[in-house]
Amino acid sequence: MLFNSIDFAIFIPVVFALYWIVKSKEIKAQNALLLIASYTFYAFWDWRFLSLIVFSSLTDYIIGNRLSETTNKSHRKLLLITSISANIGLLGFFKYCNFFIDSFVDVFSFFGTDLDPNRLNIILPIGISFYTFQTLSYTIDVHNNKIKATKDWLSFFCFVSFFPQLVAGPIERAKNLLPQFHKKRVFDRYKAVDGLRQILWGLFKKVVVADNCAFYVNQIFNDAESHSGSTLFLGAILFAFQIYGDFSGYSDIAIGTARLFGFNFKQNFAFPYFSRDIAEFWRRWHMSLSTWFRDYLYIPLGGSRVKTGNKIRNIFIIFLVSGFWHGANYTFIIWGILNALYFLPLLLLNKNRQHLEVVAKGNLFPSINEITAMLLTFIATVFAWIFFRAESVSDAIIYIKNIFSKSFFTRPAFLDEEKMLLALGFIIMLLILEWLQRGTKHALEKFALNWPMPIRFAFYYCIAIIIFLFGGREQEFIYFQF
Amino acid sequence: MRAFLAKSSLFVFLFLGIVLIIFHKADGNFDPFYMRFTTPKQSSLILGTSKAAQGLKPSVLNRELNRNDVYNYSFTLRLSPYGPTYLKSIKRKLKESSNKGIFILTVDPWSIFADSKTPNDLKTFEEKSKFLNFIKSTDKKPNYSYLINGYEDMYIKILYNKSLMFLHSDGWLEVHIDNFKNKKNRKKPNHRSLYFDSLRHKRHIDASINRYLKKKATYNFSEIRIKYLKKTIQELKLKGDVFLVRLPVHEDMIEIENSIMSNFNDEMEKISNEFEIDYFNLTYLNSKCIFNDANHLNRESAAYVSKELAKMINQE
Repeated sequence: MLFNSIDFAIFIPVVFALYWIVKSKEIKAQNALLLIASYTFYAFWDWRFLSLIVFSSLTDYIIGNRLSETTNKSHRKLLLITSISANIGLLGFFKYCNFFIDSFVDVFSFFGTDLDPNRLNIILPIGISFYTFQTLSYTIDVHNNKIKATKDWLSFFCFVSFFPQLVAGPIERAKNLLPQFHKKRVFDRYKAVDGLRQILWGLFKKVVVADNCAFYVNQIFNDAESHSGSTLFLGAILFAFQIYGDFSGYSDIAIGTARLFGFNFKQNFAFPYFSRDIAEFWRRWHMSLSTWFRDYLYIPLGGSRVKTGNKIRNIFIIFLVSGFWHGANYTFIIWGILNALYFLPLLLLNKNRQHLEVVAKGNLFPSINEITAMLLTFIATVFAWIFFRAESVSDAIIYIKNIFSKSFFTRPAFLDEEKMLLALGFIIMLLILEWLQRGTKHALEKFALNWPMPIRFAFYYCIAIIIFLFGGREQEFIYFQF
Repeated sequence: MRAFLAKSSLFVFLFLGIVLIIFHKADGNFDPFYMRFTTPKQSSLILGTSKAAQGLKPSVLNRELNRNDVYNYSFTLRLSPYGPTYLKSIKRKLKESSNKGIFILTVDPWSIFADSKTPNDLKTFEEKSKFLNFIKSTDKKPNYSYLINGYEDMYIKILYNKSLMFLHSDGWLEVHIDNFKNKKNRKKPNHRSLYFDSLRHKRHIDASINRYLKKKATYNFSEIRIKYLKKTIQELKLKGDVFLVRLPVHEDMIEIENSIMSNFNDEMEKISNEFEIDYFNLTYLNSKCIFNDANHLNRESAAYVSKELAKMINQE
């Protein structure tokens, strides 16, 4: 079930009504309803893979409880390894099995031996990368005594499968989300209204910005050889906004939906294209994954408090793993390496934490230096996105090679098409509104709140009607494939 | 909670009201298929791909044949080549009680070919995943099923569309292109219109020829499509008179069609004999017609060809 589908538009009010009106007095009944709703939500895609979610939930629930019952270090370590093996094993089998088979074949054929193994016909279960990381973080936290294991299986199963964030995050931590399933939720009108505003903005980003960009991105990336350098450059920029609109839009809808049910998720995007360097970008992009890698990989490896050589190693590990997490393709690995290369100079010069505040705080316009820094960071990101979007490394290389050709100085194709002008117009609208609200959690959190109610409602209607009239062809969320 | 529910419900219902008003405004300007799903079920149909959608005018056929029920239910090569999907949709559009209709099945090699390496594998047929396969109601206005599940573009086109196409209520798809050859007779358009000078006209034809030359590499003859063409004839014979018609195309296109299936006319003759129906090969009119591109008759030639076809039907 897609957030931008009619099914979801019917599903949400039904679950909302049952949750608040019929079952508002009992936490257990509410949790049971959420679990059923979450499994129904997932079953719309493929009910067979529900067994994987149940397996993952059950494994970590049992292991969490066993961890709380023993102080024996080696026993605890064994339990942790079991959880990691089960989750990573699941992920590895469904996501990376064929990649490793193909890589072995490539290695053997490099040495002159041609193999013809049977590739497995595996479907990648939607959301597997997200919920395995979520349950894994729980067990690691219990093992490290950062949280206590829960005895409430229903809350734990809800924590793993809560439908707003089940298939594409944000990857929530047990410390933040699990206690919310234990407590009685009280309906908070302001929170719910803010949730609706965030959903509205998320839909705008996904349906209007991302899906309209996708129309051209698909054409340009699928036929890179026949387009001019300037068109390819335009295609790469459009992809940068497509993936931002798509993924941050999804996160906004997820966070807003959770707020309707009285839950608070952590912020997942904080206006990343206004970053002044790549370190700031990674503090603002897919924050739940970045902090996951920071806490469970980077810091255990020693983080930045190690010798220079190890610092470099750690950065490469974290970005390589991050790239690999996105998909079983060398394109993602190169995307990770590129980001590591961008990040490294900042880390070595100790400048990776120089931009902790929002850009141009307190000012309407940024300074020339800030504009330059933002543009350079954006261009570097766009360059890396080419690898992220390309089907293969060779496709990405051809794409980049063709950008840096004489035709870069020609007029890009499609610029005279209405649909392209609309897409560019909506990107500008997105940038203006997000710039004005860059200090908030989402663009509509505070915007227009002081306006008189009729005008404020007219503004929200405008956005809703723009979404309806200008929404591009319904596309799946990009991050579903991860 | 009550205030929240009241305000959010009001917001949603007002929004839905706006959506419904916009949906009610959808007409023939909006897209080239929608109106065909909004008219009543029909007793006489023109069937085929976009060639027939643009090239046969029901109004002319009705006038010449002294009828009032001929309706154009043709789509495009990607949507309505002969096959299970199209047959299913045709049945959905047919009046159940009627048995005195006429059915003009336009044919050409493309309509019995499949864009697939395995042209006899139904699973590879592109139209299977398109709206023609799953839009069950073909006679509702507004047709929410089509608008929500079938339509794939922006809804703003309901209110504002610069497309050159207009779908008439009888199913004829008019394309507003004025050709250099009939400049003197150029009507003041009641709609957006494009004018082709001779150079632009040639460029347009060349571009479409190139498109079909590319198609030639991926399209293959499909036994299954022939089987379904026969099945369609069989089903429609129960409802009235059936005619097989090959429409005129540009001379360059005839060459391509002959190169992919040189015995096409023989095959159609065989089918016409098998089912005892008439096969009218109108390609002898090629030189008398003007085309918008290599494949589609322009609106004046569509009227002319419709009249010629009506004469032939009347003679039978």
